[in-house]
Amino acid sequence: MRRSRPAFLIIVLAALFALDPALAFQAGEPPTSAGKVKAVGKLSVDKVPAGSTFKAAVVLDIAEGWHVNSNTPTYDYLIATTLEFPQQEGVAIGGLRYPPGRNVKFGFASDSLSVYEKSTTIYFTVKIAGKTATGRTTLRAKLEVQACNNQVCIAPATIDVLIPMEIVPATRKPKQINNNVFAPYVNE
Amino acid sequence: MRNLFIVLLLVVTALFTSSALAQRKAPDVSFKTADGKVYDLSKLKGKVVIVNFWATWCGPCRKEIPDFIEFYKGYKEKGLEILGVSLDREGWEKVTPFLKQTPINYPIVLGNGEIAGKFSKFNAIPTTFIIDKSGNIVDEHTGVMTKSQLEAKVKPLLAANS
Repeated sequence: MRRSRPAFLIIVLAALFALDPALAFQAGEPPTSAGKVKAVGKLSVDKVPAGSTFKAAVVLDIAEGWHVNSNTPTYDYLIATTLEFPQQEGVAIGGLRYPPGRNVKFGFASDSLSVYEKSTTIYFTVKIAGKTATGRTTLRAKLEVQACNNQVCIAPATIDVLIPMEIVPATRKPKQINNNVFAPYVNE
Repeated sequence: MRNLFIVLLLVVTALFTSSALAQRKAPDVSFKTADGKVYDLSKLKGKVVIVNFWATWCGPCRKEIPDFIEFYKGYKEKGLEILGVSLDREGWEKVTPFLKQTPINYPIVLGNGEIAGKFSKFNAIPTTFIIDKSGNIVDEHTGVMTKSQLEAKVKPLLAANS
């Protein structure tokens, strides 16, 4: 099998970048905590009737061996995990609830630190104005995180979380979805 | 066959470049302290220089600072300079209150991603570079460094002729 010349060059360049860290660094921005945290938005309904209120969540998936500070970090100097919502016409956010942090002891601090590890969920409610036009739109949130492991820390990052939703007429009854995600929010 | 030869040639070149970078010249950068004192790396030749990237929000960075303070006390007069380069986005707004709480005896300056990138590809802090008397980066360490680790790496460099 004969490879095309451009594909061959790409493979060679990739090999060079892999071997030479300085070249790789010059090719991009310094990594941030966004590389250690995936954030996915979830809605409790399949479609959103205009004028309705529903539950929503951002599920954080934190890389194995890494943590981010909880929303109430142990020390003032630590950067808290926060979720903020840019102003969006016809959208009102309420009931923002962060999960409690887990107290974990790390070699670099004398006290246990309140952190999030592995998977954790931030809940909130969304009220859509009655006069909102029907159709597809996007709910926007900004997640601030700063990740460390037991040895090192990575620069803080603001992750844009985009949650697609479909606004339907007020008369339409939505179907409840993502029940496993929202069960804890319902019970409390 | 011809392609294989080219790949081998490029790999050998890359390996050679990488090893050359392992003992590369320190970048020609200058830093400023909160009170305006300028530290120009190119003018520190003849000294062994430790450049330590840190931030106030970084727990491991805070952990190693007392060891750096102790190490500087013992070796400053023997030709050692330490620059603590803060990567706090808010700059002195965050660093100055920290320095009031935690006095540090070596110069603290501000840096950013662009300056950090001139040193090497490192993606986490604390990261410490050791520069010999001739201005070559001879060591790079990401993670907490203890006083004994610093001594092991820096004492031979202080003893060496530039």
